[in-house]
Amino acid sequence: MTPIRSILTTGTLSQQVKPGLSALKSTDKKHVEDAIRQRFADTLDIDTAFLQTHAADNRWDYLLGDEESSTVVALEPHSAKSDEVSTVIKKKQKALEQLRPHLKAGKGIHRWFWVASGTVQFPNVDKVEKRLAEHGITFVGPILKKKHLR
Amino acid sequence: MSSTRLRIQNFAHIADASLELGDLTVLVGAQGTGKSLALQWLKAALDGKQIVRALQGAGQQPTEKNIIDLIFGVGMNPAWTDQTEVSLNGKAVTRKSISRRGDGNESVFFIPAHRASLISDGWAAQFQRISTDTPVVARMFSQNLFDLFSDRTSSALFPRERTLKEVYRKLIDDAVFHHGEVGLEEDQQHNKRLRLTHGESKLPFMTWTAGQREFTPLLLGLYHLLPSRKIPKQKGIDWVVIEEPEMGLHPQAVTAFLLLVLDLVWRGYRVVLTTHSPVVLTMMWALRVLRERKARWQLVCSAFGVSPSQQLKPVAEAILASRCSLRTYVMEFAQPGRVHAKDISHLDPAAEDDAESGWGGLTAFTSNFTNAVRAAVSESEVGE
Repeated sequence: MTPIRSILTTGTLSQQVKPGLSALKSTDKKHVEDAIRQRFADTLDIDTAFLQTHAADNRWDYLLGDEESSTVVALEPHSAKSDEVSTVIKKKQKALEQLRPHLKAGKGIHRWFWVASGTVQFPNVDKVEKRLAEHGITFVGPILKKKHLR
Repeated sequence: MSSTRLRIQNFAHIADASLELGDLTVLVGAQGTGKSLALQWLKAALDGKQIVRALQGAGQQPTEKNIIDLIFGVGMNPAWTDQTEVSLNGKAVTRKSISRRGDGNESVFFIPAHRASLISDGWAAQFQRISTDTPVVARMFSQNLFDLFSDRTSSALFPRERTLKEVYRKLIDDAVFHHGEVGLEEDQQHNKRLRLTHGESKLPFMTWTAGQREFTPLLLGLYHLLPSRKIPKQKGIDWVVIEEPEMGLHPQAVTAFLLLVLDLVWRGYRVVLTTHSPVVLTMMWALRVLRERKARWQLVCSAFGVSPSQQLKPVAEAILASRCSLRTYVMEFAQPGRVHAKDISHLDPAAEDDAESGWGGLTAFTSNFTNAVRAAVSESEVGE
């Protein structure tokens, strides 16, 4: 069973899981390093999946099933500005709520990655780093790379 | 301003350091990577004749065989080997040619990391009283302090009217001296000594806080470089090297000092700093972005937490001007005992190279703490 399917209960959400990176919009695939694309066995566009049921809520973008580590990571391409930090944190908090009814007992998302959709406009020594860490989010710059998955 | 290229190969543990020095250059790197050695070479390459004259004046006889010991401190002679090459703008600097470098006057004002320890019991020692174990740049700075202490027409050192811009005086007062007054006063043995006065109490140098003891020689060095009235800079001095300005200082004081560094650049000095402080690199990163965005000058003031003013406008505009070059290098061990210098001037937080995105290692160690926090959060969520 692929990583995302292994953490989801059988239901409507599970049916929207797609093979490889095919759930990612073509414009978002560039945020995943070429060298690691093959390690993702499945993906899920949770932004689209929860659009109807949680239209007014903040929504995270994707789940990626990492076959190599047998874990699921979350990916959010989002503009990298200091004033967007709160939005990204809210998105994660909402994603946890939205996903909870669909997760098998004891299962969850291993890592949460924020990739920059444009120019990076905050430094890594900023308090942003600590705020994100307290919410379990890793800012990775414009591309998710192998080193981030270690 | 055209850049100046200093290259050092195979000297001590420096395998290859090629430094394109701008109007403001910052060197970072772990302890013992040779930042100070590199900058002492800049001094020797530009002011070799002045150094040799100072040594001779102290009764030392510099020769090709002992010049490395006399400049870098006794015991450093083996650092120069058959493979050593040093050049400035492509022109070789050898042990023999050092004594012919420069015109005999000071063109590099060097404020060494040893600065506080050079003030013993509230007074600075003369060059010849400091042993040759000490690098010559520290001995020369001590002599500069001695001259400053001896020549004061006024005993007040801080605050002093018309010596610094009012905004700088306020920043320094708020960050370091807190309404204390620094001056030279006679002690009970009738020796003039540094004193910090708070109301009725007159504190001798060794009772000051570490930050006050570190900051005072920095400040006195700056007095020499920031002449009052309408003279923008000391004639003949083109370079200012300041090692680890952050020593003993709270980030508030470091920030105040960095604004003075910008003032030095505006006055036409070329400034080189070594640092272990993320505050310094945060400033370099911010200046890079402000320049790229063609930001208004007021934002430079805002970055330093001061109100925009006509006094600061030319200082801020000078650092934002495209002709002003900013450089940052990391000196790092490429292999054990072999240091190379790398240009990380862009300081891009998203750079592929960890040396650049991690700002020469200055952020890597705090990142380990945040990574541990992040892992704890993720693990607790999965277990919920």
